[in-house]
Order: sequence, then structure tokens, then C-alpha cells
Amino acid sequence: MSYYFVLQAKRLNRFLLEFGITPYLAYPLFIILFFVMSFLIFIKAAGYAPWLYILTFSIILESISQQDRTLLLKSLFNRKAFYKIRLIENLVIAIPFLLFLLYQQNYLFAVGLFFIALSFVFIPYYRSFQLSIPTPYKRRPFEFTAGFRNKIIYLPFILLLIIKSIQVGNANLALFILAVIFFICLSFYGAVEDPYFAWIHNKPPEQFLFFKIKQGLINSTILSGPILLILGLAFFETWPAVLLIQGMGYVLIMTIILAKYSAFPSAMNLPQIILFMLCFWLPPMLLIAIPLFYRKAIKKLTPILT
Amino acid sequence: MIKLIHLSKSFGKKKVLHDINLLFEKGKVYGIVGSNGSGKTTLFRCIAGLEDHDGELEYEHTPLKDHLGFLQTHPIIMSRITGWEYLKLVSISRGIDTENFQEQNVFELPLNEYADTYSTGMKKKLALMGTLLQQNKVLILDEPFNGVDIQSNLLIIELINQLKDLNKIILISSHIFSTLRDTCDEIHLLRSGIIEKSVMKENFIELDTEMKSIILGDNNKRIKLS
Repeated sequence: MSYYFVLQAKRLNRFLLEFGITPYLAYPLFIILFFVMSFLIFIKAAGYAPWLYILTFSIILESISQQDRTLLLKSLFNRKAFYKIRLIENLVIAIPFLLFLLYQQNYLFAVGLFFIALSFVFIPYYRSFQLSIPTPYKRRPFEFTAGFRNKIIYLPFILLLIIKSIQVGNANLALFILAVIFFICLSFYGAVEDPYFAWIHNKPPEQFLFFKIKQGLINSTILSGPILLILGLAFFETWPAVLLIQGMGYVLIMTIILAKYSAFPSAMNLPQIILFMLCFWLPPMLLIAIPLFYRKAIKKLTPILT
Repeated sequence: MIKLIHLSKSFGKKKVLHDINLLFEKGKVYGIVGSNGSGKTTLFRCIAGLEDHDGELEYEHTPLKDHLGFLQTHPIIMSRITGWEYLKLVSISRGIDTENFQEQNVFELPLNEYADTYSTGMKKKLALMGTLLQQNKVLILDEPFNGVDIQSNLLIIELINQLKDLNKIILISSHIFSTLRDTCDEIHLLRSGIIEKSVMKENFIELDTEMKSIILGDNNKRIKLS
């Protein structure tokens, strides 16, 4: 079993190296970044920061509990070793979150987070039933169709936060949820796509990108629509902020599509991710990023689509 | 008509296709045979435009890929996408706005279930159905019979014959010689990236015998069975 963890460490190091960053730099950088981000969240979103923390932690756990991985572990190890591995992995991920919650004296949330880490060990992530989850994207596959189903587990959290925002009359929380919806939409474009699914389109690269962006904007509108309605009914006075977030969301969706295809068919590399992240903190960077990603995307798609 | 002129392909220093010159005409079915690693899939990927290559490829409509349906040996199916949604995706990608997939579900696939939970054969059938729905002029079917049950094999042979009657150009690779015998007009034998032989329908039996002796040789005697 210990060799499994050695192998995981090797894989992670190889991934970091391929990503263009040495592991010796990546690990300390990650720890620093984690605590800086945590402080920022707890300062800027004091009221609901622990909830956000729980949500982020659950997203990470869910991503390592996918069906293929779970089945592989089950086929390699006996029942006892399987649960031991899952428990160790979940607790390793939980440690920084727990430390920060304890530091913040959020003991109740720390206990909750610990139990989430435990419960994820026992969630059967392989599908033993053949039912498919209906989505509003049946006619527009595939990023949002697959993404919606992958992230459906967060729907209760989002609903809970919406109800909470109306209950306490907190418009900022509702606006924050709108931003979260767009973050979730952006995550749908994170998966590497096989070139075949671009190749099948009988469109030149420019039209292909336009088609993808159009689909992305329509689909994100469908997902953000109910929140927009709630904001309109409950917090109408916030419309300038709503427009700003919705507009920024659209621009970021467009940017991530261009960024994804600028690295296609490989995954985005570190400089591309840094440039994309910079656009969050410094929106004028979009003026540089969008044309740059567009030109690269056309270059990458041309041999596949023409 | 598709014309391959001096088509070659290398991966680094390793040359995998050597100076391929072939002609594929409308209304005909062509078989490409060869052992594993002989270059069949690479040749198909070059024709499809999924691999760059040296040499030329001529076709009356450019780009060829916009008129070509490609069934891959191991079809790639995304997770959390139903069979219906997969068919919708491959149809809209070619600008075909259809949704009557259930009516055309010749393989009786459970289209409302996630396609990544399908068996190997079912995935193959779904991908083939998607390729057929695209109404392409040219079809490349890489191992269409692999992993598919015998009834569906018969159905696929029948569908290929129907496509031939519709004047399509069809390229097939298969390790099951009988399926090629039933469908192809001409078979090209590919070995180590070289077209070693092209055989017309009337000489398929000779090719079958020859292939068996080449492939089998004395190899079965190398392993000590007890």
C-alpha cells in the first residue's frame, strides 16, 4: 500500500514538471497560496466563508472520488486497504482546511469538515444504476451536459445559500452565488477534450470558436437565469452589480474557451493558466489575453479543422 | 475519388508509412489488412486529417474531413453523456439538426443511458450509428466488427453494402477476413507501413490462405504448452 502513495507522489511530481514548475517550488508555493487565499476569503466574505470552505473542500474530494479511480483502487486492493487509502487521502487533503478552521476558532465547521472527509470514503462513486440525470442541455451537448451532471452534488449547497441570502436579506451573498455559478461554468471547460470531438465539426477554426462561444453563453445563461430572477425580484436595487457580474462571467466564459483551444489538444500550460488567472484580478488584462488566446487557438485548430 | 500520392508518415525518426500510392473510387469498398502495428490506423488517421503527413491527398471536395465519417478502433465516449446526447453532438457538429435517433436505432441501444457505461461492442455500435447519421460521402471504419456480436456483424455488413449502393467510398480494416470477403471490392495488404499487395475480389481466397501462412508460420510452436 505504501508503494501506492510513492507512485502518487511520483505522478504528482511528473505532472508539475510537465506543467513547467519544479516540485521544490510548487509545494511551498501552494501552501503559501492556500493560506493567503484562506485569509482573503475570511476577510472578504466573513459571514459565509466557512460555508465556502466546506464547498471548496467537497469539490476537491469529489474530484478524487471519480468512478474510474474508485474502481481501479477496488480492483487493486482488498476492502480494508481500499478504505484505508481513501481515508488517508481525504485526511491529507483535509489537514490544511482543518488547521485554518481551528485557527479561525470555527470548531463546529472543523468537526463538520472532518465528517465530510470521513463520509466521502464510503460514498459509492461508481454508478450501479443506469438512470441518467436530466439536464437543460440535452440539445446542446457536451461541456455543460457532462459538467452539470458532474457538479450536481453542489446544487443543495447553492440552493441553501440562495435561501439564506433571501432570509437574511443579504444581496451580497446572492451576488456571490451568481459569481459562483459562473465559476462552476468555467470549470466545465477544464477537462481535456479528445481532438476527435473538434475534428468532427465541418467548420473552419473561426466558425468553430464562434459556435463554441455561442453555446457557452447560451448555456451559462440557462444556469444563471434562476439566480438572475431571484436577484431581480428580491434585490432589484443591485442591478448594476448584477450586470457587472453577468457581463464579466460572459467575458470569462469566452476567454476560457479561447484559452482551452489555444493549448488544444493538450491541457493548458502554466503560463496560459497564469494569464487566465490574472484576468480575474486585473480585468484590463483581458484586452491582451483574448486576442492572444484567439490567435493561438486558430493556429492550434487549423491543422485539425482544415 | 480519393488519391493518395506518395503518402508517408514518420513519428520522430521512425517511419511508419512508406510512400503509399492508392486510389479509392466511389461506390466501392476497400479493405486494409495487416498485423497489429502495420500502420492501418495511422494511414486512416492521415487520410482523416488527424495526423500530418508527407505526400499528397486529392479529393474533389476540400477539405476531405468535412465529408468523412471516421469510426475509430476504440471510440472515445465522454463520461456523463447519454447515447442520445452523443448522437446529437455528432449530428450538430455536421450541421444536421435531427433528433429521431430512436427511430433509426438499428442496434437497439439504450440511448437514454450514459454511453460510457456501455459495453465495448455497444460503444462501437453507438459510434458507428453516429458516423452513419452524419451522411458522409466517405467512410473510414477502423475495425467495425471488433467486439460486436454476430447479429450486429451481419447488420453492419448489410449496412456497408447499402452504403456502397449509395455511391459512397468506404475504407475498412478488420482482422476478421470473412467480413472483408463479404464486403470489399479490393483489399490492400499493409506490412510495416508498405502496401505489399493489392488484391481484387476474385483473388480473396488466395490472399486468405497466404495471410494465414504468413501470420501463423511456426509461431504457434514457439510457446511450450503442456
